[in-house]
Parts: sequence; structure tokens; C-alpha cells
Amino acid sequence: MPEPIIEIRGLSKSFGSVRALEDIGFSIGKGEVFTLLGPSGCGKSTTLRIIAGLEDAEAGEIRLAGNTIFSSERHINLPPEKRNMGMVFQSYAIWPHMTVAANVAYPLKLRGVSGADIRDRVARALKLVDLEAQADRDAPKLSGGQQQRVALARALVYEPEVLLLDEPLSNLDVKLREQMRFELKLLQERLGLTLIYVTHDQSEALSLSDRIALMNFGRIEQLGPPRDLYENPATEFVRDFLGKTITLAGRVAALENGGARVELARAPGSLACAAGARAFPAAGTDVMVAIRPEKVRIAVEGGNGGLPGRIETVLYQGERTECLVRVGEELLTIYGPPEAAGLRGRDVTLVLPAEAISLWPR
Amino acid sequence: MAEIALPPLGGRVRRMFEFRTVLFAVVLLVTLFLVLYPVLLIVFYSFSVAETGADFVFGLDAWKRALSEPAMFGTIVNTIKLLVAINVISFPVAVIVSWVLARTDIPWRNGLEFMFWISFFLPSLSVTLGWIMCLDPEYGLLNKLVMLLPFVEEAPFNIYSFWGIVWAHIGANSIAVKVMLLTPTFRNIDSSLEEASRVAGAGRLGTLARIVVPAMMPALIAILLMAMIRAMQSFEIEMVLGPPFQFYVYSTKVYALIAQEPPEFGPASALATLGLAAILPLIFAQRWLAMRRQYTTLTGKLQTQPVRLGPWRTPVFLGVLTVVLVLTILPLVFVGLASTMNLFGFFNIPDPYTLDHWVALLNDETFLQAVGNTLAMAGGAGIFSVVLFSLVAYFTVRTTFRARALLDFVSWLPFAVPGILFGVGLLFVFLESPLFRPLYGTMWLLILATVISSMTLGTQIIKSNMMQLGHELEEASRVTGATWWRTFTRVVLPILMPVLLLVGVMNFISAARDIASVALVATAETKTLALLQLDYMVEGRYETAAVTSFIVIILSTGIALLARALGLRVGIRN
Repeated sequence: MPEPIIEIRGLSKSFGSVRALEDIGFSIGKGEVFTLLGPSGCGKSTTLRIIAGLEDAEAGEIRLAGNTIFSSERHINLPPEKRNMGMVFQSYAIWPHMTVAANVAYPLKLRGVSGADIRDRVARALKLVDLEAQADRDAPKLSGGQQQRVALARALVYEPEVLLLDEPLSNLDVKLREQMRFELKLLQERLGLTLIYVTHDQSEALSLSDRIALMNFGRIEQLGPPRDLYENPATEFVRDFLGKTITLAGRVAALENGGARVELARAPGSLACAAGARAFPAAGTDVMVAIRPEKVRIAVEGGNGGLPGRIETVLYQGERTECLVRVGEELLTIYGPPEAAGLRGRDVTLVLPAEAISLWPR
Repeated sequence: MAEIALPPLGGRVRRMFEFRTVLFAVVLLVTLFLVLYPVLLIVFYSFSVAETGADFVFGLDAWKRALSEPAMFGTIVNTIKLLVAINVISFPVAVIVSWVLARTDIPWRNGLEFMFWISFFLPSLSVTLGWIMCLDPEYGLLNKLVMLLPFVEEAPFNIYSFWGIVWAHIGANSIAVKVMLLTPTFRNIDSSLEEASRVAGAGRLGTLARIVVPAMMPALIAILLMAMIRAMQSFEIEMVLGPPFQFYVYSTKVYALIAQEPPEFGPASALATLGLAAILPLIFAQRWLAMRRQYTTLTGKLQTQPVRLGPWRTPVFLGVLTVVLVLTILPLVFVGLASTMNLFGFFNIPDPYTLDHWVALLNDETFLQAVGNTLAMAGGAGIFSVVLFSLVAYFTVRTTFRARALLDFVSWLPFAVPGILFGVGLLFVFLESPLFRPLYGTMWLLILATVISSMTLGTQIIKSNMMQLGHELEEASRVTGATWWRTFTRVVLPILMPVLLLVGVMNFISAARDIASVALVATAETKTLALLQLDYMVEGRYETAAVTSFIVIILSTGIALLARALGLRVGIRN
């Protein structure tokens, strides 16, 4: 990892009797996109707001570029205006009584930048987000997407050390959200920005981040690169929060060739499971077999060693289909190709690759 | 081919005589008669030069006098001067206090807010009485206290002065009204607007000055205009404090012109019309601003993180506490003291304290009659207003009658027209027409006057609650076979019962302490407690006035407290 720009240790906070944050710690490298992901109420926004100085933690320490900006032990708590961070809010927080240019110029004025310099830098910031033409418009008259860009320009114009983004795309419609995702990524790569990004949207997190901290109930469940989290989830919560998972009840029949064979409990047949990141339980243990639905192949003929099943119904989705397949007593939702649309009522075989299967305690 | 169903013949005719239509017409006529007719009569009589009671004779004498005599036109200038002075002081104070209450982590916030609420409900005449006790040039306690200092020879304060009146207004409810209107406004602002400014590098005060106040400017101006419109209607403070130094505002001048013998109706109406004309631009500006969408308040999910005051927490708390104590406890203590002293301010006579004033008043026929009158008037106003306002609200919100816009406009008029002017108008209505003259001198006239004065606020509260009520509730009742009237009385009204109760209680309170609307229409037999208190104060019988004042406070502030304890959200905003 490049030199850390933010180091956080032992952040804790409670609201009344509810533990909002419990011993949160991580560090973020320069130029990294770091995402705090989790369901609502998991503490991700609180963490971000503590980093910004908008809320206090009860315990812990935050260092920015080597300087302590918050420390409960040493009673250090820099106010937000002294932290030199940039922040984009979920509601954009565009000041309604100012023009676009005045919104962007505000942080520069506070820093005593000279008039000509301000004009220059505001123009550059607005060009960056493609809003030069709107500079003199009243901010509230802009569309949501444009306000979003103003917020971004306003947070970037003074070249803060870190840019904090609190659910920045969640108020945009789907099309615009996908477009802004690309623009944000391009901008980040071009300027080498360090981003701390808060979102509850897993696809946003997976597509934008260098690393993700997935939070739940005020704790970090798993921290790592997106692929790590998706392919080797450490906990059931991580597995189920990111993407879809099919689970089947079973029991470990034998350990063989570094892998395992699992007898299914509610369906005929058994499955081979290759060695992966997760350790195998002992033979005879009850387990849940888990696999991502896109890894399962539906075979109309052949499919040796697969599970026999019957397609109960099919939902056509355009680029793919979702097939509801009955295997023994289990009902599984499998992603199939568009051609599977005509397979309703057919007997098929499900092929579950051994290396895509993971075992979980039942 | 299937038969084509023809529209039923005379569908429109039938609708004309539907019960609902008839009721709408009645409500519209009653409201027009109560509100618009008196105002039109004022304008009409300003062009008459006939003797009182004689037929209308056209002439411009009244207008010539109103526009040329300094004693007349000057009163409007005085009104405006007062208005400016009061608001220049009270508005900034109210803005800061409301922001602190709404957006910071000041301790004991609910308690402080509650005390401003109390201040709002204290009758201004009682507060003024308290301040007279404090600042009277001869025996005001504060004056006496300051004069104990060796180098002070003369009484430093005089409540009977321009600044005395300004102070009485600020001490009465000029600050409290604004705090009650501003606090929810500040509370609705999206806190990320402030947070964005903090992160961008501005401190707390910088953010308040550069972001919060400018962003809220439209809302602030709307509230300021509303406060100024209210201030244009003030009467009793000027009535007590003004005449001793020959100072009149236009409402007290109108009153003086009519209360004198013989009354001068012509100049009074011309002056009243002038006053109305002065208020009109304020009304239009206020409506225009209020109609525009307030863009500072976002709908949906709002984060309201209080601003941390840090080391300023205690000083700010003490500051706000001082303000609210000066507004509430201080005047109350003085009124209490005055009611139990032989002669107020004289502590060194042999027997300074006594309950004689209480005993004497409680045995006084006039006083007992006034208590009865007040209860009858406030109770009648409470009941009648709920019936009328709920119908007015229903017809403006829920029907498509074309004339409902007129009804809506008329329900707004009492907000603009000072109570004393309605008094003039009602006098014209009930004195000049033989049909209604028998009502003059009865409680009915006072009930009508107070119903009119509370019409705008009461109707607005019911309207806003009706708008939140889904149409489906009514439609479901109609579909199951209920008539419109049955639906209205069995579905709409019961659902709105808490709101109706609230409006009833608020109208009771405002009637009980009302002076401006009833001052001209009351006679010796129909005097209310508040009017009696005004008389005592004008006569300088402050101890007796203080006792009366206590009863008025119980009937207004006391009832408000009781209603609040019972769960009603008594206030000016819902």
C-alpha cells in the first residue's frame, strides 16, 4: 500500500444505549478509493462524519497525513473547518442563495485567495465537471445531476487532502447514477484523488472501490478489495450482502483429495467441493453449501455428476433469465441464458463446479 | 344496438338546491357580512359629512382633515416609527434566539422554548402593567433602585415615552411571536447546508452569517412582514402609555375619535381607511413571499445534527435564559407584587402589604359582571368559531364551488384589518341599521367581534389539517351510502376533533384577552375583564388592575397551559 494518508484506530461511539460504532480501525493510502459499505444504520455515515469532524467519537484516534486530528485520549478534536477535507453530501447541500460560481468560490474566499485567482480556479473546477456554461445560474435552478457536479466542484476546488462522499449518487435516477459512476472514476484516476466513499449500494461499491470495508451493527465485518469480498466472503453477512447466493443444506460425507464430498439433506445426490479460502469442517458435520447463482450451469442433456432438477417457471429478463428450479425439496433461483425462456416444466441437470462451492456452518 | 343513456334532465338545477350548495351559500353570506361588509362600510362612511345617525351625505371633509391635520396623519407616521423601532430590536434578537433553540446543543432547550411559549400567551396589557411598576418615573422600582446610586439625581427611565412603548412591545410578545414562528423554520433547514460550509472551512458564526441567514432570507422576510402586520394592529399598549404624553398611533386615534362625545365617525373612518391602505402593501408582499416555494426546506429525509456550541454553551444558555426571564417572570412578579400592596412602590409605610384589593374586587358587582361577560364571550366565541371556521375550511379545501376563492380571500381579511377597525365597522353595521340595532349592547356583538379577529388563524389550522386528510375517507363514506352532511358530521369532523378542540381553545384564549376588537363594541353592561383592566390602568388604579390582570392571565395563559397539559398543541403553527 502507498503511504497512508488517513489512519484510524479504535473509533467507538454510542447513541444512548445503542453502540453505533465499535472499535473501528483502518488506514487509507494516498490516491486510494476506500468505501464504507453496509445496510442503513450500520455506522458507515457516522464513521464518515466523525472523520469530517461533524460528529464526535467517544474513543479512538484519527490521523491525517501524520497529524493527529482527533484523539480521545489526548483531547484533540480539530473542528471540521480546520481539517481541510472536501465533502459531498447526499442532499448535495448546494447553498440556495448563491450562484453556481459563488458556491464553488466560497471555500476559496474563506482561505483568503485573491479575486483573480478565485475566478481562475472556479473556472477550472467547473470545467472539470463540465459546468462552465452554468457558472452564473442560480444554484437551485439546476437539475439534480448538475447540483451533484456543483457539489463535487465545490469540494475539489481547494484541493483537499481527502474527498469524503456520503451517498453522493443515491438521489440520482438510475441512468444518471450509472453515468456519474464512470465520471467519478475517471476524475479520481485523472487527479489521483483519495476518496472515502459511503454507500449502501453494493454495485456502486464493487465498481468504484480499491478496497471496501463492509460494516454491520457498528463493526467492520470484512475489509479488502472488492473481488476478495465477493469471492471469498469471511462471514455469512458479507456473503449475503454482496450479490445473490444459493444455499443447500447438507452434511460432510468425506474429505478427499484436499476437497470434500457433501451429501445433500433435502435433495438426492452429493456434491464435490474443492479446497478454497475457507477451511473444511470435519466429516459428519452439518453444513450449508453456498454458490453464486451465476456459477451454476443448467444442462438440458448430459451434465454428469450434476443435480437432477425440474424448472418450475422462468422469468425472462432480457439479457438473461431467472429460472426457479426444484431439486428434491429445495427451490433454487438460477440465472440462465435468454434461450432458457422456453424450458418451463423441463427436467434438467444443474452443474455446480467444485471450485465455486463454499461450505458454511448450519 | 344498446340504448344510449341520456344525462339526467336538470342535473344542474338539482345541484343548485342540494343541501351542500345551500349551506355553502349561507356560510359565504355570513362570512361576507361579518368580514367584508364592516370594512366596506368604513370606507363608505369616510365620504359622508352627515351628522351621526343622519342619512349619508357625500363630502370630502373627513378626508381633508385626515390628510391635513398633523394630529391625524401624524398618527400613521407614529405607527410606522414604532413598528420600525420595535422590529429593528426584536427581530435580530428573535433570529439569534430561534437559531440557538433550533440548531444548537444548548442545554434545557425544551424548557426555554416552553418559556417563550408562555411569553407568547401572556396578555400584553398585563406585561405592560408589570413594566409600569418597574419603569414608572415616580415610583417604578427600577428607577428607585438606580436612584439609590449617589450620582443619579433623576429617574433614568420613563415608560411613558416613545422608547417606553417600544420596550413594552418587546417585553410583551414581540420577541415571543417571532421566536415561535422562526424556531420551526430554522429546524426545517437541511443541516448539511451548514455542514458543507463547515467542511469548506467556515466557523460556526461565519456559517450562520454567510449561509444560514442568507439562505433563509425569504422565509425570514415573510415572518418579519407578518410580525409588522401584527404590530400595525396593536392597540392596548399605546392606549395606556401614549395619552399621558400626548402620543397617539392611528388605532388609538381612531378609538379616541369614536369614544369622544360627540363621536366623529367621518374622520375616524377616513383615518381607518388610510391605515388599511398602509397595511395593504405589507399584506401583498407577505402573501407573495409566503406563496413562493421556500427552497431552503427540503422534503424527505432531513439530517438535523445540532451545532455544538462547545465552550459557548453556558454563556449562550445564560443569555437566552436572561431574555426569557425578562419576558416572563419579571413582569409577572411585579404584577403579583402590585396586587398585594397597599400602594405600589411604597415599602416604608406602616402596612405595605394587604389583600384588600383582592377582597374589594371580588365583592365588586362590576367585576363579577365582567367575569361573567368574559366567560360568556370567550365560550361563545370558542364554540361559534369552530362551527363557522370548519365549514369555511371545508368549502375552500374540499369543494369546487367557484365562489370558494372569494370565501378564502375573506377568511384572510381579518389578518390584515386591525381589530379596532373591525370595531368601527361593526358599530356602523349594528348602529346604523334598524334591523341589527337590537343586538347592540348584547354579548352577541362581542362574540362576533372576537370570532372575526381569530378567523384567519383558526381557519388556516383547520384547512391545513383537512388537506392532509385523504379524499378516500370521505369517498368511502359516500360510496357506502351516506349523504354529504352525514359524511361531514360523522367522518370529517370526528377525525378532525383534536384540531377543532385546539382551535376552540385558542379562540377562547384570544377572546378572553382581546381588547382591540371589543373596545368599541362593548358597553358598560358588556365590559369584559380585559377592558376593565384597561380602564383601571388608564385611571391609574394599578393595584386593582393587577388583581384583574391575574384573572385574565388565568383565563388565557392558564387555559393554554391546561390545554397543553391535556395534549393539545396550542401555538401559532401546527
